[in-house]
Amino acid sequence: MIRYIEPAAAVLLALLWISPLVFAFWAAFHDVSDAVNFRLTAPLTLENFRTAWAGAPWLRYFLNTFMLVSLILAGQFLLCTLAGYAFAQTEFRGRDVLFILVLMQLFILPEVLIVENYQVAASLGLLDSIMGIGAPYMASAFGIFLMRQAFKSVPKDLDEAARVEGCGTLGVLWRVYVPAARPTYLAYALVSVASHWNNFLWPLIVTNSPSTRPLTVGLSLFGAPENGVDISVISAATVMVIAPLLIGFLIFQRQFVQAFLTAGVK
Amino acid sequence: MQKRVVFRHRWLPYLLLAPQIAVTLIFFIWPAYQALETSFFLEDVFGFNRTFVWFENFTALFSDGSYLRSFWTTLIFGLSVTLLSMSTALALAVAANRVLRGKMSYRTFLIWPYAVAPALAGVLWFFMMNPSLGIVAYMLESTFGVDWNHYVNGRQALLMVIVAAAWKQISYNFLFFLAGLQSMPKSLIEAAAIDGASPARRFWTICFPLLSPTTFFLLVVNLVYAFFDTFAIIHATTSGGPADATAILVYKVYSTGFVGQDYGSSAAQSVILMALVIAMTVVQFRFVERKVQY
Repeated sequence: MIRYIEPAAAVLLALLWISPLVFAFWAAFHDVSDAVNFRLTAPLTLENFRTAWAGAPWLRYFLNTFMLVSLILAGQFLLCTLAGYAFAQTEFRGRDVLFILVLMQLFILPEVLIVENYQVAASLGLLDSIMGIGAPYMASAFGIFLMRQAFKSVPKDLDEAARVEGCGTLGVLWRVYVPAARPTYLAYALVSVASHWNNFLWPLIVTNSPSTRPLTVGLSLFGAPENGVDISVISAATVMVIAPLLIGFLIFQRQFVQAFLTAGVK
Repeated sequence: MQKRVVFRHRWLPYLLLAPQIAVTLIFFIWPAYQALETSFFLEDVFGFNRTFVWFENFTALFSDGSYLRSFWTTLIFGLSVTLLSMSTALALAVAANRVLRGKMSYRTFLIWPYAVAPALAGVLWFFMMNPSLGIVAYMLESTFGVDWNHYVNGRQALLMVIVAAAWKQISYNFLFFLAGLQSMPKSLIEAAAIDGASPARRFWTICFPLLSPTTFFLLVVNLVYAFFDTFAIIHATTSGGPADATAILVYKVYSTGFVGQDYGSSAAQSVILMALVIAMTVVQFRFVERKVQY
């Protein structure tokens, strides 16, 4: 008997925990009154999605978020690869000082300095632009750590062999180190995309027009009390917004789990 | 030829690092310096003049009742979120570790909330807890007779943001606890079982102590999350209200700087928070990483 109680309790606890999500899915496909009264036999409807879709420029928001995460990821890959390589495989004067400078970034959380960051973005003319949302995140001390670690584990023989074949320093980086670190890139990309897809505070402050707003900010404006949308419509909008990331989680689930465990904090 | 190679090697590292250092200086070091500098000045209403006032912004903050309350709110919020999300995650991980069939789908389900943006989680909870329309508020009223209204009741508002913030973080904790449990040597637990220790006793005397490196790591991660990463949830659910009942320190920086436009005070708050981050990081490296090891 006990053999069955434990798994049952586990499943129950898990269900309770994901119930907000389940409820959102349920409400999204049902009429409001059916949704809040839990009429299990109520007919499914797509009306909420139509209402939600018509209520805000979602396509634009999707595009903005997509451009934002791609821009950040491209920037991070480039910067972290170059810097990670410099710290891992080259000797130069002032390396420790520069490394500490990079490390200091870990102490300076963007959430804490929003007013000052806003002023910097304003003076660079980056307000209300995708570049403005993304630029501060392109430097990532965490990414440099990961890349440095990955590059350090590349066998020296490969490096020397490539040089004998006539590769320059950048050629070696591109042809030997980058391919060897592919799993690290994937892990880092997953963590980066997941966290920037969901970022809110900085985009909220920097953007002030629909043409640059990402999904998170768009949805929170859409769901603001003064808009008077009901639970079914907001659920439909929420489902729409989280769907791409949920599907991504399903496809890459093994890699995601690995990425979070090895990469740890973002 | 030889000369060119030497030349390249001398300058290449700096070239490689230049973009990284530029972004770090522009978006991290410079704003931090700005905050530090601004925190020592008092700006007039029009922003034309500012006077050096030493620590006046700081002393003003620490004699300001609402700021001190925000400290307490942050502490209660941070500890509650950490405790709630970690204990739930541990329970789920222990359960998942026991479940033999369907382990993968169980895990997939459980990591889904992580994919939900904090801002979206906030909106979701906001609608579920809405006093007049929300499903959870309705159930609380009909089953437990609780008169739920987080617009008026500060305690309920705080409880709501705690639950919403903890809910978001459980997935993350769950993954780490589960990994910790799975990497545990089975022989120890089997030995204890042969000696006649009950499952509960086996858990508390073997598994829990062996998990402590994971637990301490998560403790720091969760506190940092609760203190600094929960802005979106609070913004979407309560906007810091009612009457500042859910205004944690990060929210205060935002409301003082952007809503109140008091830059000196906001900068001083940023400096205090930076000091907090540094202190937490030092504690993490000094005590946790070294002492908790098996």
